[in-house]
Amino acid sequence: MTPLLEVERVSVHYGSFEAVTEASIAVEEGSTMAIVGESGSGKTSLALAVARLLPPGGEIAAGSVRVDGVDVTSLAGADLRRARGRLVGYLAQDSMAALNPVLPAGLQVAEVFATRDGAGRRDARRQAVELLAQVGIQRAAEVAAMYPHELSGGMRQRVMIAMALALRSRLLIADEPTTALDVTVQAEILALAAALQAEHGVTFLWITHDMGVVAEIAGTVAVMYGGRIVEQGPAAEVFARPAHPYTQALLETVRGGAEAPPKAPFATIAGAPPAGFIPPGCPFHPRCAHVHEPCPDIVPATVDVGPGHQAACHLLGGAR
Amino acid sequence: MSAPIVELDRVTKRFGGVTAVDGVSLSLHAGRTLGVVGESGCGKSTTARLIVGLERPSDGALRFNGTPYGRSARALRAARKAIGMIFQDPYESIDGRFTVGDVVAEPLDIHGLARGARAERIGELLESVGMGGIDPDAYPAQFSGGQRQRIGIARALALDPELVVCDEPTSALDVSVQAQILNLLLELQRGRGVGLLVISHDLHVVRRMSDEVAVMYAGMVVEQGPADEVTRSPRHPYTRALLDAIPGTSPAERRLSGRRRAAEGIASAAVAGCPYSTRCPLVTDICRAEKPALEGVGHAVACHHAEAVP
Repeated sequence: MTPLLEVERVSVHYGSFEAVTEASIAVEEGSTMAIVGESGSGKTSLALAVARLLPPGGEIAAGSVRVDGVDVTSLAGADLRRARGRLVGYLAQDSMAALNPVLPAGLQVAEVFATRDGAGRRDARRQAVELLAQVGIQRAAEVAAMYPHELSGGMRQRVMIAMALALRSRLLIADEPTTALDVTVQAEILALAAALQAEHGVTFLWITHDMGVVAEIAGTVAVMYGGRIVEQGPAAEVFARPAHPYTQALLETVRGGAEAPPKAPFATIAGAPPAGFIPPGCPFHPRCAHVHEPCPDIVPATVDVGPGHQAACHLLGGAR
Repeated sequence: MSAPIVELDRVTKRFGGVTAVDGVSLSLHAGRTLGVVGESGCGKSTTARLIVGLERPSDGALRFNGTPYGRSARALRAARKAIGMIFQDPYESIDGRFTVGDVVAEPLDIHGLARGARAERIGELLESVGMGGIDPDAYPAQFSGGQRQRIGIARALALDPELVVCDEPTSALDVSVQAQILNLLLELQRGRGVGLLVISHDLHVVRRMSDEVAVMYAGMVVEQGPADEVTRSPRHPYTRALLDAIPGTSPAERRLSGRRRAAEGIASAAVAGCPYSTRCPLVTDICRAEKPALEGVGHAVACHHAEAVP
């Protein structure tokens, strides 16, 4: 089966700055891939490239993105507009900024039915209320009449999910949709995403900085650092046998210390993620506990380390 | 245990008709850490701002070494000298037009203590937060989020505080940097014996950092006790819900995806009884009618059905 999303050797440039370097991923229909990384890792640029939503100045400098067999990198004008929404939906972190503040929430969902299907006002509204109820909003008819500022962050994110369901996007990109939410609300949204996938076969590309979120929702995971995918594979495999020192360290921050006595020191990674300047060679080498001779000069090749599991580290062999 | 540095005695803070902090009593001690955990709007940040004197209480008393300081300008000035604060956002809380040295020395300048050894003091403070090598004439823009937070911590230490209030000290930082800052706080406590108040929405962080934990909901402390005990055997259904919301640590032990799909309602206006009754799975008639009091010695809980919490 061809994957629903195929990203091949994509590089994203903002002028002379390379935010993403030769990233390749594939996501099967009805599954969830998580892209995990810190600020400046390139995860959001990669997501925006897939959605063709890069800001002015950003461009896909190389590589290809196919969604459901359609090469979205070559789309323009009306074709691109149609592809957005139908092929790719985008769930943004800041739901307050993503929703129209002067339109009631229900109307924003109903717009999809009116615009795409030519549904009448009453019919579009009925379908919108049904969807709001489906994403777990109580008294959906009442909420449909409310404006975004009257809703909690969790409710707004549910409205965004209802819009994406209305669009029936083939691929739904979730760009840290739970990061600004309280932990108990985050838990509900993650559970909702899993339920929608089981019921409707939604395909997710889930962007996050949180390995806990990855553990909960991802079938496959790609770990990004300094614009490169440094490791990827089935989530169970990556969590059980992390191959890259950065992945190992990130997992340590999640799992480490669950049994630690109070006030025992936390496991740390020295330094900070690169900002504005990507180190040559392996981008992680200035912070890596295992740095050795080739790391500062030579970019490590991506090698197979297990079934469907790859990583790019000189400790794993391979040459470029 | 020694006498508390700062004590809150049934402190209430109202903003117009909204009660942000509702009858909160807490004690902060030298060398010990109190963690305050809760979600947005629970009143934890207002509590921090009351303690450092950025807000005045509507009701109740704050005491610094036994002296009330909530309403007296002179007592407040003395208390402020002894209480440092670390803010959540190291970009918002540090003035980019100041040099790093001026940021760190600002409390000394304000309290007129900078004469003489100002430069040496700046050097010492930066050294103590692991930034010994840097040029104090550099500007904050040259530093990463983690480094800026270290600068903010150096500023909080400038007056040799007895207590440092940390409001979400790591939530604006990258995952790989958070542990460095938490370790720095642990080290500073060991080295200087300062009392810490750590405010966080992250129960995992609070458990690791604290001796004692207070869980806040809707302006009230709903559960309080030794950190290990509260996080291992919670007695309030809200604490239980917070613990259950922590994601699993690997795909092999998913904790959230199997949940029953909870519906989200419209936030209801103030309730007469327990503020958690609108969300609580254990709710009965008494919860809607009567606000439960925080009861218990050592490990206290405010719930009519504490014995039924799983």
